[in-house]
Amino acid sequence: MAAIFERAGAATVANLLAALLGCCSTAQAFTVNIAAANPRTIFLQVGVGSFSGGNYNAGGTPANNATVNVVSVTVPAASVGSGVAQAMTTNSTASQSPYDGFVFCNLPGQLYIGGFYRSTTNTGAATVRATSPANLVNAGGQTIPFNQISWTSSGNGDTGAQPFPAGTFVGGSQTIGSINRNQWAESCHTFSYANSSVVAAGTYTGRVTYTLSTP
Amino acid sequence: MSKKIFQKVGTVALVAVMAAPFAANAESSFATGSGVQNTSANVDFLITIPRFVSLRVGVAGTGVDLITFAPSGAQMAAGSPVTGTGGDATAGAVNATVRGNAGTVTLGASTLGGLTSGANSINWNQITTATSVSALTPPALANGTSIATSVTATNNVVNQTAVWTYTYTNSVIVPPGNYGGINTGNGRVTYTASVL
Repeated sequence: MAAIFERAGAATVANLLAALLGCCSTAQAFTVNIAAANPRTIFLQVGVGSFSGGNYNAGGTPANNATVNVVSVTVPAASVGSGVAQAMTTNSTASQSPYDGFVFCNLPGQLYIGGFYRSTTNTGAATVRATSPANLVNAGGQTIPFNQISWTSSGNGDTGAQPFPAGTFVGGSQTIGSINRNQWAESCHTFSYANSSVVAAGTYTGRVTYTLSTP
Repeated sequence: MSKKIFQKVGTVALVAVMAAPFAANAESSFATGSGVQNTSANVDFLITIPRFVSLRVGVAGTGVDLITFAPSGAQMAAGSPVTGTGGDATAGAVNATVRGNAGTVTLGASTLGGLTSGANSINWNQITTATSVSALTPPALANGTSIATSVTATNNVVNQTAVWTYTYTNSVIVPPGNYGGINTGNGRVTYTASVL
């Protein structure tokens, strides 16, 4: 069954209600309540993902997608170690929210991260954590600390605090955000490389694993 | 623009029900069942760093510093060393920086020959260069190509800065005159930094 309100429509109705009530602005980051259901289900998408049968609000169902996206940057030779942060881009093609198809992230600069937690059992929020290795490594064994990579968080139309806010990798496990029970939450992350020191030439790689866990 | 607040009616088909804990791992993934659930998605990060080597001797940018020695008559008579003026560091000195990320850097220097004043000349070996950092040792100046020095890399990276101070040794009596100059009279030294 389709959602009651489309994203833009929801904003319009909400704003109208707010205006009529003389209340505060309803602008916020995108978290939305969803209906409780059993069994307990969680869904996490970082970059591209898959939904079967349409978007979530159209009755679609979550699916696995094994494509691992890459967030990358090639530092200009004249800028290596300059201390000027270098914007990273992604090969993700996921600009639209799988919740409702809204064009939420801007490519190639932003990486979608979102999902839901649904349960009829009264538990706390589900937590999204990221686990990064200490370093990115090149073929020669030279390293770049993972804490040289940071991100900002936003989403088209968003003005409030993001469910998955800005941060910096720590070279270990860290909390990225949370999803309340029976809620969909999503953000777009824009990554940058701090470029704070001269490092050896090469191609440095490292994988981050995001994990969504229920209580 | 604000976003939606409430919502979602309907049933989402559930694919599987399993005993907890259930874990999946993909880039979009879901988990379902009773009890604790975990699901994961990976992202790869890639940073490409190109090879480079850079050299600064004197003022940053394209400007060329002029180091001037003007020995007095007494100094000439005594044959005592003469400090210079000019340069972007202390008088008669320049800031030097070598940076690179592809291994040891070879540092060279060359001139077109001895500094000339008409038919007279001063050998470049009359001008010595002292460094404030031994890891960044300049080539000894010579008429023509100097013997190169090396700047050792650590993990393929070189990032050294020093102050090079020039001195006219004044150990040879020469006729009076202006020797060298701003890109004239063989008065220019060209430094090079290179990596294999």
